[in-house]
Amino acid sequence: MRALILSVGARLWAVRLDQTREVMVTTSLTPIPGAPPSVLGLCHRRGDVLAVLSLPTVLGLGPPSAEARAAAWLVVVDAGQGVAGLAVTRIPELRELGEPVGSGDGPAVLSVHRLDDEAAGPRTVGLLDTDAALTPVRIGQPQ
Amino acid sequence: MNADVTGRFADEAEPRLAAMRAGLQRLESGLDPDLMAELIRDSHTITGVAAAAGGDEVASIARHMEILLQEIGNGHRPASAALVDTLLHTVSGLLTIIARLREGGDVSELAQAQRAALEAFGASPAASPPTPTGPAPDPAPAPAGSIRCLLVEVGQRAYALPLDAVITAAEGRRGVCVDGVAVDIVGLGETLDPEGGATAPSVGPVVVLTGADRSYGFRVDAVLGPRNVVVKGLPAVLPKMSMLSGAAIEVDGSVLCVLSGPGLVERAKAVVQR
Repeated sequence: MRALILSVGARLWAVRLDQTREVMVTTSLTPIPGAPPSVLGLCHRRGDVLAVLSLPTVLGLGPPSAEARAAAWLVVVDAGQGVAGLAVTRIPELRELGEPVGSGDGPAVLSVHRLDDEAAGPRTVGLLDTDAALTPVRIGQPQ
Repeated sequence: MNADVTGRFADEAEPRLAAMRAGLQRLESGLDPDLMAELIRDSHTITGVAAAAGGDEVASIARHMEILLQEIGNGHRPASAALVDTLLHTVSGLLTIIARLREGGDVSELAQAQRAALEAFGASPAASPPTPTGPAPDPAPAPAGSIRCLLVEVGQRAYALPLDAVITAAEGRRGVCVDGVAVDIVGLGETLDPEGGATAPSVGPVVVLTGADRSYGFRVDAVLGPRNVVVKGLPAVLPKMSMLSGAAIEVDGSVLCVLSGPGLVERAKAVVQR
């Protein structure tokens, strides 16, 4: 299965290629007053308004780090309703994922896969189901 | 206007204004296309007869009302309680102006007050001159999703406030009264971000917004002025956020947040109680 590897700081996730729309350079983000912490802001995408999210925060892993706030790239993915931009700190890599080496921890992370990387050594990533992970209810959770 | 012309004009205008008052009161209980058509026709006729009689002050105010009513009729502006209230006040004001014209008195100050109240809602007759005769025109086309907003600045960031929720904007006041009653004032920055928003200075521009049951004054850093804003819906993936009614894309590609008057008023109640 082909997937994009998303990095936010030291954390990695994989998203199936057919759930991704594009990778964009982050332009100026407009913060939203009263927004939950997982919403970093709004930006312009081809005449439309795109919500930019902190993926670790959506997944309940704490408030957005300064690194996530300053993320240079966005990966636009299918969300439960529409699309959303996920802020990432490195250019996403396109990889072929092998058989799972473990199960995920719920509907958002489906399975765990090994990434064999000569430079960084073996690593594992959780395969994200963006439709299940990026819903208004999850995004609206206070941290 | 000579006395004879004034009398004929007043005889024509007064019953139409009385009908408009009754119609606007009915409008408070719901939008009805036939009622809107009647209101637009009456305001158009008053504009026409006033312009033909040389009553430019009345013509200008009636034309302003006509534009606002057309915007309500074509769905580009909600019939908010504040707007309907202002239109009712304007009808009463026009009746007072006409009574004073019958007596040969000066109406410039009264007319100025009526114009100022309508200008808070943005539509301006200067942009579309009155047509003294003929049937009421079709509603003017407007860009889809475009609403008239007042742009303000807080913390070096611009926000759009839909004008239908704006009662008034006052420069550099310590306090603001609406209909003789002082309104509570809170900082807009403090309301938008209670944890991080700076406390508003005690003097500076204040924008009074109306909510479901009360109004608040919001202190801002600057009032940038009214503007048409093409409002886009918020991304569906976002949860409901009460203070935000939409967003717009600016010419430089940045995103402008369009705030919700009622949402801000509700939040202001909580800020005041803290």
